Amino acid sequence: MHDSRRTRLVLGVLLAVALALITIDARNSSASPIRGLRALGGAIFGTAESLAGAVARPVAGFFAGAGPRSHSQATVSALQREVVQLRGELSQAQLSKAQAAQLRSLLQVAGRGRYRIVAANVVAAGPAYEETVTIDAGSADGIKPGETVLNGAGLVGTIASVSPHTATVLLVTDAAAKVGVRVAPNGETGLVNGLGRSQPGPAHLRLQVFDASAVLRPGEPVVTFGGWPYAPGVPVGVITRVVVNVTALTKIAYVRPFADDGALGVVGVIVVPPRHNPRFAVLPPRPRPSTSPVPARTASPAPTASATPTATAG
Amino acid sequence: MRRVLLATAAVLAAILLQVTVLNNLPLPGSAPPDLVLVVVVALALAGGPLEGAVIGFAAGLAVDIAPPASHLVGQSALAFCLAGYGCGRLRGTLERSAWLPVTAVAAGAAAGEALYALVGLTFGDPDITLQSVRQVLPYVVIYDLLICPFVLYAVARLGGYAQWSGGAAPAGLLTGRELRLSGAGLLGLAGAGGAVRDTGTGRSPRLRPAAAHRADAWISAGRGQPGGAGARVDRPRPLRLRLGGGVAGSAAGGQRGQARPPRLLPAVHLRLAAPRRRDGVIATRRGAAGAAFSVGRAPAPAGRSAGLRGASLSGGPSALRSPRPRRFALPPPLRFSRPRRSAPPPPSRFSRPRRFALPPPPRFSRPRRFALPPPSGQPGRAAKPRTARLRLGRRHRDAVVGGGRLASGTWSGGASRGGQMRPGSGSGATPRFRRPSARRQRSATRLRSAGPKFRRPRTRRWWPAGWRRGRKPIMGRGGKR
Repeated sequence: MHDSRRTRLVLGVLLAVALALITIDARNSSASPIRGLRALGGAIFGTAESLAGAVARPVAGFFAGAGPRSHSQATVSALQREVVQLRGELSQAQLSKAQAAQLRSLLQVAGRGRYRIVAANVVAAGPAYEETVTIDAGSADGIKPGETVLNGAGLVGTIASVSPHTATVLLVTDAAAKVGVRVAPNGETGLVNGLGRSQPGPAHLRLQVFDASAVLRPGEPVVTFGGWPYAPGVPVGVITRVVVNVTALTKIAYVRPFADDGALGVVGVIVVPPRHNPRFAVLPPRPRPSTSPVPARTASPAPTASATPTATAG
Repeated sequence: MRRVLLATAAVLAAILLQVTVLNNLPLPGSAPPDLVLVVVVALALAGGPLEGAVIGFAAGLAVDIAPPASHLVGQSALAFCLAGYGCGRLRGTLERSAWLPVTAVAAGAAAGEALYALVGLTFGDPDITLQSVRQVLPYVVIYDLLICPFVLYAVARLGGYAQWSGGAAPAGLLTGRELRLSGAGLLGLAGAGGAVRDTGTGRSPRLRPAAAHRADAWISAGRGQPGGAGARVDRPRPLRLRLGGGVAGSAAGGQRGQARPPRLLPAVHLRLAAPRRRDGVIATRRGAAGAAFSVGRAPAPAGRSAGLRGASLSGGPSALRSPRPRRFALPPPLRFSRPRRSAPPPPSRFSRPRRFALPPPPRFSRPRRFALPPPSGQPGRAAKPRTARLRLGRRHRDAVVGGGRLASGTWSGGASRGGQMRPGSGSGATPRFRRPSARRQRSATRLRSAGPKFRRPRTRRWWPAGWRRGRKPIMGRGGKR
């Protein structure tokens, strides 16, 4: 059975099937064979992942604070404290205490925005190019595709697909994600999209404000605008850099997300959006992130433009 | 069946480990290692091209539909399938060094990642841009390289690939052990001196598992496994006559207790032009086989295309009489076609006899296969003045022609170079598939075999026939979408 016509025949058939699947999926990702395959994968692997997640969570959680993915100083110090805690007593009770802390802050955010949420755990993360995670709650818990996911810090992403007991979250930092936002003090509207893995270093978002004459300053927080698929008022991040480009029709800025996608634990899915737009009420009462990160950030992740402390273009 | 279960379990475990642990690890760089691809490549390296392609496709499809994935369904399946097939092609060529499997795994993983990115770029995946590929690909390849010794070791050790062929399955005998050898050597579980031994004689594989010695580290590492390689070493090995070229105890195949001959890759299909009606008589006779080897003495005319006359093939008693009872000087594996009643097929490339219509090629041609009815009749029956389609190739070190005498001692030169011509010995002292020798053998076979009508197309290519022709339309169609 070394290499024969049969082998080549099998190889050819398999390649043809793969190409056919790719083509069908690229044309219409909701076609029935693809949807069936994904549902099957969700049923099989999702269950296994939510089981394995319970085992793997301590492992991933142990390393969570040690890596270079946690960026903001507040997060770093918080996670370092958490790591010290974890190393002190690596027990399930301790882990669930950390989870309880995350859940508490999540519930605070949900209470401020009057979101009705379903809490879930992140059990798996996507492969190299993708910024996706799996959570251990699915359609059995009332989760539907398109709903907003947040954690105690801010916006996490949106539900991309559900299976009975798991759901896939497309993170804000993914290159396919686009969020309509509102910049805090003045209320300019814009669009935030993720950059994927196209830039080294910490994940950043790209903010595009439609009004070219808007004045943006680093440190201003950004919340979701509302409207499908995102619930209104969820904190997204804080502006770190404003790109000065006089000829552009829109204003470009870079936003550091509040939620660190490398250290996601307990998240909540907004199953019922609030009746009234909370606008900026969900933001922390004092503009905590606007004071700390600006002098601290020395690394400039985007090579495209120069950073200016105040941008007055247009 | 056990193989299937083990491969499935390995792939599923790799997928779960990948999505739940590896993707969450805050590793430096912007990408985690791709464990599934490395496992696929390692399994393919131990299993062969067919298994590699099937395992790669199945594992890739599973990766595509496992929940957090949001890329196109079929993207990983395509990349992994090709990577598995390519690494399966490398099975058996990796015997010389413990580093070669690792290199092959690394190359296969890198190629698979690049292919994955290429498919994503082609189909316009928003996540896969040139920028992100430049960010991600080097890290993925480096991490794959880092984990591949571990995966190789785990696959060989946990799967017991060396034992899988213990049954009837003619799988790669040495590959599992080689994998284990390389994994162990690279993991530092055994010093390089204990694991491999450089014998450096020209004819033998350069690095050999020091199989026969108990105290060797990697063997004793495997001894705890019941029925593992370590346990087998202790069995007394059957006495075997070794021909030239081998050093006692160095046989790559000799580690296993039973005299299991290594599988030959390119079986020499020497056709004696059997489909003709009368040639069958020649072909099914033992004397013909003997004659094929006595032609060294036969007054064959010079020149490669000189046909071997029927008279010299079957007629002369000098040709038919074997000088001594040959135990070793058996012919290379012949594939005899049954005599057919009908006319020979039209001379085209595709007219070779169908696979199942033929007896399987004698894998390590037992003598029984040639002990067909003894030539009781007078040998002159087939001695029609008709040209048998057996052509002689006069190669310098060819086993047939260059052998000269039929004494088994002189066989060793040509035979051990050919690597395949020693049917009864099975000592494995010669390398199993040494590529240059296999090529030489094949060329000699082609020269010797029947005319262009029955020339066997090359099977050991690096890519399947028509691959280059077929690639363009495929990519073109993909690009249009």
